Amino acid sequence: MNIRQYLPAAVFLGALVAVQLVISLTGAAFYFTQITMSFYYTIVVIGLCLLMGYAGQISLGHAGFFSIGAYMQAMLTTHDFSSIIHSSWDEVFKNVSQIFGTVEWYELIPEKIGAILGIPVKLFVGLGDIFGMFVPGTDGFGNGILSYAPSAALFISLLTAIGIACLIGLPVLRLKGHYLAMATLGFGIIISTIVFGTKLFGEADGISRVPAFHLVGPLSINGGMADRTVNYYIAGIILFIVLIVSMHIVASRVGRALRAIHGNEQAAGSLGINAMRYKLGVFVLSALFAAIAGVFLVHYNGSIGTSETSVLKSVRYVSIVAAGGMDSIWGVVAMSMGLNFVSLRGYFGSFDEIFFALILVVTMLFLPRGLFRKEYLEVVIKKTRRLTRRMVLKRKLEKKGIVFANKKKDDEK
Amino acid sequence: MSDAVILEAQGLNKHFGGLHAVRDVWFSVQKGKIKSIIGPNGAGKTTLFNLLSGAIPADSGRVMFKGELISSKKPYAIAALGMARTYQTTRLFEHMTVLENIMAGRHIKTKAGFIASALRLPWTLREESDCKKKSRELLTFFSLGEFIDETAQNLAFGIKRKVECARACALEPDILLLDEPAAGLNIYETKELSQLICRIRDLGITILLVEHDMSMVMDISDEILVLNEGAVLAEGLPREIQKNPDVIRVYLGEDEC
Ligand SMILES: Nc1ncnc2c1ncn2[C@@H]1O[C@H](COP(=O)(O)OP(=O)(O)OP(=O)(O)O)[C@@H](O)[C@H]1O
Ligand SMILES: [Mg+2]
Repeated sequence: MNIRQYLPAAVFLGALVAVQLVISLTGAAFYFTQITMSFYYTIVVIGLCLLMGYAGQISLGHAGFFSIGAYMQAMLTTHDFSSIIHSSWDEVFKNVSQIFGTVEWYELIPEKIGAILGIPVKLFVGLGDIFGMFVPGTDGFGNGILSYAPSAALFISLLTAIGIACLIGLPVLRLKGHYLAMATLGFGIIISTIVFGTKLFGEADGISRVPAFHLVGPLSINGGMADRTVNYYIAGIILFIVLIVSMHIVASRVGRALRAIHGNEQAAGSLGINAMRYKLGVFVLSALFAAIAGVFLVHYNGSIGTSETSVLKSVRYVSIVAAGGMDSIWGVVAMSMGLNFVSLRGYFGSFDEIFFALILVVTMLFLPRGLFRKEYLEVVIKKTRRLTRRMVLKRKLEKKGIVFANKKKDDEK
Repeated sequence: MSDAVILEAQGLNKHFGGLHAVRDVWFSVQKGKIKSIIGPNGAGKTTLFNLLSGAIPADSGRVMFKGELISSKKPYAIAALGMARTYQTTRLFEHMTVLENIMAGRHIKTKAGFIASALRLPWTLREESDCKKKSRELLTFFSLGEFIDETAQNLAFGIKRKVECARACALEPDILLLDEPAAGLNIYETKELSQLICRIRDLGITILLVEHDMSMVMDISDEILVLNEGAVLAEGLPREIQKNPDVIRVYLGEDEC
């Protein structure tokens, strides 16, 4: 449609290559790790930017969706499913603990209900086996295991995140303002608690030994030194796709409906806009973005820890969106890349979380519309343009021998 | 078919705590006409609009629109059936431009959803440029062309009123509910608005108007409904209402006392 619309995207791609070249040429390849991780975190932030900046709905639970993606992916690709695959239906009913044995709170579930719960699990895993979703691997002790292939796990993880987002979003998005903030905060805490209390998810230790995710040909998502540059590009391209999709949505009928809901929900309703549907849609989309980031980052890092589920992470995402300018995607991306990189390099030391909380407070107090605003840029451009035009004019006139007296002196006369 | 009923209120009631804001209101609006609702402050006119458009639920009574029962429907569904409205205090999308406001008004006339928009399918681009073209035409109809790229929050009060009216018309509704569109306008603007309302009517859009400006109401209305303390006090042609002693007593006579 409009070529100029894609200009920032082109700049992004150019910067992607330029940064890679600079880093490779200066031999500072260790920077790639933090930049790559920042790319993934930025995907979470973009989703939140759509939800908060455009639709005007807050979420303090997006670390939860990130964790659902990351933990599901890690669990599915590292857990040994062979016992479930090989257990007969008889065993499913008789010895359910074999299936649920790794879930600590399973003991709280009455045996009969547990047996019934075993059926869908056995069915699901069995079906996956038929479709060849499992690949052999080894656990930490060198024993052979059967786990989901990363590509199969990807679909299951993302669908889980979408499903949970729908279930949570439907009741929660009826709330407004700080009620919505508190409800989503509660959701984040619940996810964090479940992860902490479930053996399947490694409890306080998290999950490690997540295998590499082979994409096509030699491309593979992993944290190995050899693949550092490739992974920088893979993450950059995934972020790029998320950016393009988000830009398209923002500039479409859907984006308009979201902003209308943000502007005045009742007026939007009187125009035939089904606010609940759009709010749910953008909530699920932002949850999906967060889960996508989680899924890929867990393969890149090779592990996931409980700190990712923390509410402080959710606060961090929100503060980045606020500081980046809420409804300016590129501002938010720039802010996210900068802050995440600096934070991951450890420049904030033990003040990391405090720093992000501080950013939130300072932004809300002094720059409620964020740091990177188009308006600010426009003012600067206008001023410099006026200045240069005046200077050019002055020089032209001076050439013709007309000298301008200073305006102030004129006035004094 | 000119006297076909398009909108009908059947015994509407609404209480706010102990206040009976709308009492057993029956009336109907004929297709293609301009019907006005007048009444002193607090008579329940806005509340009645909210009941008709589904913004608040009625305690009892029914609303029929184009032969369909709409009283239990959500506002967005009622709007999609062809009912548009404006608000007593304008409710524009302040951070959007005038054009974007109008295009948002064409929501039900367009289809692109999340997935089609994300992928920017070719038909969504066609739909978008068509929507933009129709919105521009509408702005020209409302003589708002010069404000097209202005952000709504920067507009003068009178212009905001007009933009809100244009946004409601963007739905291409069958009926348009206007809540005090002339409030805060000067005489010239009011006169222009009267003409505009007649032109909208000429497009085939039925109009239900709440207004305090008597000369305007008497001028353009085909029929008038008078509300007082939530109940219907009188209903009839403008000249009948002007002569009605009850109306003169509670409403028109107020100034003379
Ligand atoms: N949401 C509400 N809660 C409580 N009382 C309300 C509410 N909305 C309206 N009322 C009351 O109902 C009565 C009717 O109000 P309404 O706004 O419908 O009057 P109106 O005829 O539109 O008046 P005006 O000419 O001032 O706009 C008023 O007494 C008002 O205070
Ligand atoms: Mg009113």
